[in-house]
Amino acid sequence: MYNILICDDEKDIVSALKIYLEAEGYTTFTACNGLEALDVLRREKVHLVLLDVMMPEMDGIAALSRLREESNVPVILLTAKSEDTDKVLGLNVGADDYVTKPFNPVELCARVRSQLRRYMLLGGGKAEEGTLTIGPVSLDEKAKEVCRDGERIALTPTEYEILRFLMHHAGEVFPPKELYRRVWNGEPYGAENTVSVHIRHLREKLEINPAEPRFIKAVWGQGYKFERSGT
Amino acid sequence: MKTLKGSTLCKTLAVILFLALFLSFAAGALSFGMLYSAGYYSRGAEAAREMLAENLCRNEAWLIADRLLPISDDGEPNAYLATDDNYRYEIFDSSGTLRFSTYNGEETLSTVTVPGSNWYPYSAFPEGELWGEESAASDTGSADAALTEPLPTPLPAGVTPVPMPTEPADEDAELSNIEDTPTDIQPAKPLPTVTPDPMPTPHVTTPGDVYSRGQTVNFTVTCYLLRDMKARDNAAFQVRCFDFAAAHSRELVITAIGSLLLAILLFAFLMAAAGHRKGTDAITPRLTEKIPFDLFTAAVALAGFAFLAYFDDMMDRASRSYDIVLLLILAGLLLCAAVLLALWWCMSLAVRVKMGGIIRGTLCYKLLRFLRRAARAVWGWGKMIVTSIPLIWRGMLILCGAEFVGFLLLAMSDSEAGPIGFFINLFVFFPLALLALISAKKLRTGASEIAKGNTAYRIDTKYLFGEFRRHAEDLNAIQSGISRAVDARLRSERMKTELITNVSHDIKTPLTSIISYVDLLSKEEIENEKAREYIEVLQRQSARLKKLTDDLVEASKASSGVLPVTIEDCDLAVMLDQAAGEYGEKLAEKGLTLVVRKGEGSVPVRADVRHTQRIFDNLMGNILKYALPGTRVYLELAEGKTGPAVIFRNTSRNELALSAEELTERFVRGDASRSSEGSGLGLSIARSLAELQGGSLAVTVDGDLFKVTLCFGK
Repeated sequence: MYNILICDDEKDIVSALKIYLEAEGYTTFTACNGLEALDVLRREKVHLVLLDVMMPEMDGIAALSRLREESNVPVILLTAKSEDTDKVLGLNVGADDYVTKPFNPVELCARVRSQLRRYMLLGGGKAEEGTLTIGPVSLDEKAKEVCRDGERIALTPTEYEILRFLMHHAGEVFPPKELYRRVWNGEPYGAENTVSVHIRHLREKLEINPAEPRFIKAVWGQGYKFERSGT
Repeated sequence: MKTLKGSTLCKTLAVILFLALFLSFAAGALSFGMLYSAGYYSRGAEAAREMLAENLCRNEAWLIADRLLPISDDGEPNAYLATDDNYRYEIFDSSGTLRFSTYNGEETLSTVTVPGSNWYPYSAFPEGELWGEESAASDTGSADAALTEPLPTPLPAGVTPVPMPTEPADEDAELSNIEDTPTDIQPAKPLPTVTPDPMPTPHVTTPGDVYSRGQTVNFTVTCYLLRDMKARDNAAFQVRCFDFAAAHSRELVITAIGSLLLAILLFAFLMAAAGHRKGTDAITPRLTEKIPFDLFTAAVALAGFAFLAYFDDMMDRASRSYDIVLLLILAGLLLCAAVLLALWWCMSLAVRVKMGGIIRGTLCYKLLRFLRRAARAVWGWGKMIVTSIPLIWRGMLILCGAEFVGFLLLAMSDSEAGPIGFFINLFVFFPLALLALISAKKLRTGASEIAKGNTAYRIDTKYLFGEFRRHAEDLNAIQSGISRAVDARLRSERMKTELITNVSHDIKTPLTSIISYVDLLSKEEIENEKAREYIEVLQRQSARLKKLTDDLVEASKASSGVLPVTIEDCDLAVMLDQAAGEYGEKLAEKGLTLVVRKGEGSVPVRADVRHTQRIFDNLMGNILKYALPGTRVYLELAEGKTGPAVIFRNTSRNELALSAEELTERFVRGDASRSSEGSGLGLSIARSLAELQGGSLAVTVDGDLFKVTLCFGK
């Protein structure tokens, strides 16, 4: 199975994570600061790193930037800071994902699984013809299949059409009426909330944590969009 | 020395001695002066004596020549041509004829001849008739009487006459005198024309020598100073003094210098002793020192001048009087008085200097000080009166004055003063009005800046005057008070936010462990039914704690205004559609029916997208928690005060015991028991966020009807 490095200065959190991840069948290593983490990484074969940001000796951001100099192993940041600037900083330095404390163990495990699958199974993620891939989400237009980190997700035809349309115009915001016209090919006539209901269903299926969507975002008062960066 | 200083007797003696020494010095100095001026030191005793005699003689001759003038023609005999002194006279007319003589050919010390002139007969010779037509009238006895005066009595016994050297140079002296005389005629002097018989007869007039009235008569006077000075007159005294001084010249100088030195010493002692009294070291002022110094000085100076004037007069008289000794004694007394006065003044000055405050004690100083105080008091009263007049009345007074001046100028406008009015207007009233306007403008600007909340603005009071300046200073004081309060408020708010953020972060780490382990516990196979129940409670409450910490950070950030706000164009209609889509099913699950009321078309608003979503989240979350199942929930578009608004309406499940204001406070929840989930921060955060993007959020409670109006800004 895969080896996961857990790095946090809080021992209880480390052991809790250890229990969860080992229950999932992973092998775990532990470290309590950035220096130890780098040391373990040099000695062992590690497939994924869970890295706390606020640590003594060397913090997560510094360790991450050192780590990225020699490896592109997936890294998930654990942070108590929920401010946007910290997330952006972490992602810019080279993190693949992040969870904010206090995190939901189930969500964390889902993200670990997702990152490992993308890293190990999909490899470089070669672009197949007729397949639209943004971040971990890929849409096969021939097979009319949607995968997130290689995991197939079952969608209704309308949901698939909405996702296809939004992914083709990633980053653009579409008001519900416009979306209705483009997907349903007709005038909405007071059926605007149909769109938002479908969007919500789509999000519940596609997103790991629907309360904190990463892919399909509602821009309040304007419409919906598919996030271009895919994080 | 101290006892000497304190002794009154000692001082009195010193004063007397000082006076004596002073007089001694004066006498010595006078003698020295006399000798020096007579040329005793340059020419020798004999020549000096002759010089003195000649001077005396010439003075007398001029005196006679002068005094012939004022004598009227009333025929009175001339008292000055007396024969009771040591002088004798001969008077010649212009032709050189001897007209009058009292000289009987005695041996003389000196002879001087001077010219004179007069009008006939307004000023006549002693014998008025002598020159006239009836010149033969020699029967008048006046001249006789004058001439028949008995000769001066000899010197009193005991007074030894000054030995007069009988010098052979006498003849030479006489000759030189004769040569010196400016008169063209010099008759044979030794010619004895008048015999010293008891009935001396006046000279016989030459026939045909007749003068008419008003004619100028020229004549010469020859004066003789007798060698044998029988009369005790001025000349005799002076000659005797000279002889005495000449005999004791050296002793006199020594005495004068010694006296002066001693007098100086005594003066110094008196100055040092001034103000000292027996038995005390302190300077004791006398009655004199009570008199202001300047007044005292003036009085002393006045008295001194009077004394000196008298002294001068006495000396003057002494120079031509017979009572020379008496007059000299009187003059000496006057001098003593003057010296005493001066000494008194000096001692008083010394006392005052020792006591200090000499200037402050003067009357002038007191007067000046009084005047200054008076001026200050008058100024103070004036100022008080002016400032106590209310501003409006003061202004009215000034305006009335200006109007009055204007009226006067108008009245003068026809005259030459017309342009003055124009220039006063131009250079006085116009600039004043301009200054007032500029000041008012400055105040206006300052006040409006303060009203806008510009806490850094200060009104520049440099060029403001009077009431304008005071007003500006008041405004500045208000301004600084406000900015202080605002600063303090901002600082405390920011500190609170930072504290909450830090505490929340610290809470999150242990909370992560709790949530994780409770989750692990819930996955364990536990037989005990109660234990499972407890774990469930733990799960629920730890989730609530997580939400609470998140909300806490959010609430403090929102209310302190540190959250960034990005205002974008939004559509309120779209917003309601999205809300319906997002929450419709959840509401339906709770047995609530969502009713959206909106018109056709878009309703544009300007808002921050993320903050608005959070507001909707919170409000809809509240409705899910507190709405009575089975009722309808309304979402409605409306027009608010500042822009479009959304009204959320629902029926409360619990009785709303709290007022609308209390509900939006932090940590206040609809149910008093606080048992339900939720942080109590939802409404508070929603309101803060609404205000942050320029809108407002109002809560209305009407029985069980709960209504929230979310209003957007423009």
